[in-house]
Amino acid sequence: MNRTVVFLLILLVQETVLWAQQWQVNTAAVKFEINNAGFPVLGSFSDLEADIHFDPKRPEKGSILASVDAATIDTGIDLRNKHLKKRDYFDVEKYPRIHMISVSIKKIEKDVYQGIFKVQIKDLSKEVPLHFSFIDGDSSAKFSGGFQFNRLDFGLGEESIILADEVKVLLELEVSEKEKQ
Amino acid sequence: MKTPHLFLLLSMIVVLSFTLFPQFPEEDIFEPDIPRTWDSAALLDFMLPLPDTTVKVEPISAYYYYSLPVRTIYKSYPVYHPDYEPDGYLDSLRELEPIDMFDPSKLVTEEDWIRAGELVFDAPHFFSSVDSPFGAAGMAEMGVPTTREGMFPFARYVVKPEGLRLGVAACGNCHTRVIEDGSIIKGAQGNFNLDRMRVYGLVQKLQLPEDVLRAREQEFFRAPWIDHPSQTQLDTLTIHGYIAAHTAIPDGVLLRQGTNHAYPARIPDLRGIKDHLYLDATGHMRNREPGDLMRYAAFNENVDLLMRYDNFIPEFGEHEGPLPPPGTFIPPFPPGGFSRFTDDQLYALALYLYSLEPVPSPYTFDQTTMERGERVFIEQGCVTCHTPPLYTNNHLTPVDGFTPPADHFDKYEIFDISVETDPGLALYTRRSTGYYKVPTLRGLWYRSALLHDGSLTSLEELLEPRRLEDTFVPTGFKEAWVKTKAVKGHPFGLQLNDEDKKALIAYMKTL
Repeated sequence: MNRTVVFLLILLVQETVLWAQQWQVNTAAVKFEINNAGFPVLGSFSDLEADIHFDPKRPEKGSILASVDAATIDTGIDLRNKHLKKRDYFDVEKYPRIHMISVSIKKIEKDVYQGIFKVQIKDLSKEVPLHFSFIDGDSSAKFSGGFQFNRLDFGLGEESIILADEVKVLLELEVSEKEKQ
Repeated sequence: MKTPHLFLLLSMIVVLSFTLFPQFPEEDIFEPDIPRTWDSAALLDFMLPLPDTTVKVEPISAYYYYSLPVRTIYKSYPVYHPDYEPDGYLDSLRELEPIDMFDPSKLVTEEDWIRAGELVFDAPHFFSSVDSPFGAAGMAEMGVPTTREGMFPFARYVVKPEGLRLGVAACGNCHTRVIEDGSIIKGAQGNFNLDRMRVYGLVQKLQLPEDVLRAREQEFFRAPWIDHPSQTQLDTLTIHGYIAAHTAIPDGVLLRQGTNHAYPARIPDLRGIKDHLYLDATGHMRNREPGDLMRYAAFNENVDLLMRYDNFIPEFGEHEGPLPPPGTFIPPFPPGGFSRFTDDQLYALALYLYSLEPVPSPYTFDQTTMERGERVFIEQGCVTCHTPPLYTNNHLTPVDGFTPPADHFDKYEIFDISVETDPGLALYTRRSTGYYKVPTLRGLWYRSALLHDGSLTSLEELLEPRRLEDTFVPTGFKEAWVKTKAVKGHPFGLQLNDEDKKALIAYMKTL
């Protein structure tokens, strides 16, 4: 292979690695809300794993992958949680994790960004817009954001006269910068 | 003929024609499309399969069914509590001639058919002498509820060609409830305690011997392919066991054939049944159209005792080969042998039952309580299964110990979560399916048997967390051989504070 091409490739890889600020998650809250018979039901997931490369100065170069353990769903009622893990909802035995991967990220205004994320629940995926803020503090930083989706797009239950289709998801991540390798 | 005479004659003809041939507006004339009850194709997917799918279940053939003798519905008369019976009442009935009350050729409007269906609902098909232990004196001694007129709505006197008889075992026997003010609700979860009446009548008065009682219990409850103590104990049943098992049954619950002593069934509420997709606590049979309700009634009027489960037929025990032809044998049960309603009668019955709407609750509460109760109902997740306006989502929930086969999700409405109540009725009986249906909450205000087996009798008890403990003494059904019993499962609302609990109960009592 031509030495010049190899050199350029190495530079390119280094460029990607060098610009990237990589973050590790210290604490995370993944909450959701859905209306049932006109009243909001609040729930959460835990065991978030994430691989975050994000530089607020160059957000378009960022890359965020995250997933939660679908079996950690908690709506405050044990039997309801059990039901939501079954095949007509999250089918956690077959699909243990819920994934989201950034497709694009751009800055909207100071500290505020809009990303397009590919969300995958079970074997269905869909791109959703996700607005988030990123506030960098002294020792840690905070991602806060949210998005909405239609549960029927992901095969979560059936049409219902009482359970709404739209689900709101709220994300709060407290992160600190990973030391560069 | 002079003109005035001609006019008079014409007027008389017109009047007579209206009298003899009543005119109905064309839109009121009802043309019934009567389904065939024993339709082999419809029967195929009418019943849910047993959890043990290796057992081959076969109903009798259409030929056999239609060869059974049909029932004539004779005019019947109320049975009074002895303290309320008019002087000379029975003698006056003995003077009467039998009248056949069901003539489909005279049914013109849908209302006519519905009224005729009520006759079928109230038509007894077990008959005995007027002074039978199941009659007025026996019911009075057993404290059977009476209406405000002093009548027992659970039996009828019937003038038959052979004379005046006491008639019992109508649909209305179990599906009629006398409420506090002495009025009755037809189609409701009944409060005639047939099981305690059986002990009184069959054991105390008729003194049937132990082996006869044991044989009857085996016919009613045995499912020999199920290896479970609730089944095998029937083989060694004593007379004391019989008495204890039936005495343990509270009002609103029944040791229906196909259940067993450990796992009786609450009597279902038929009000609003038109909208319910499954019948029986276990969703044993489907209710897709009037034909299905006709089939349910036909089966449960004892023809189910002729069903074949591999080589077991409840009526005959282990039995290879074909059934003896109809009319060639006299079984110990049902009294008088097997018979059937006509398709016309069953269709009228189905229309009548479909016409029974839920009865509005007389309970009222202030608006704040109602709003709070409704909010708790939603927040606690009740609304998900007991979804308005039917207050059931019409789904089946699998019980612990049963995993729905994949094809069930396409065939049936399944809410795939167990509410962790006792699975026995759904696993260890002839009516087992592996499921309990989600019951409607409409009519809760008058019901006394809650959960599938009536182990609890009030909403307060249902929401009492102590019921989960082994030391709990339920006010409803508990097996004859236990003193205490944890009533597990359906844990919703157990952690509520007192105010929320009161509001939730108030809300549910208004449904």
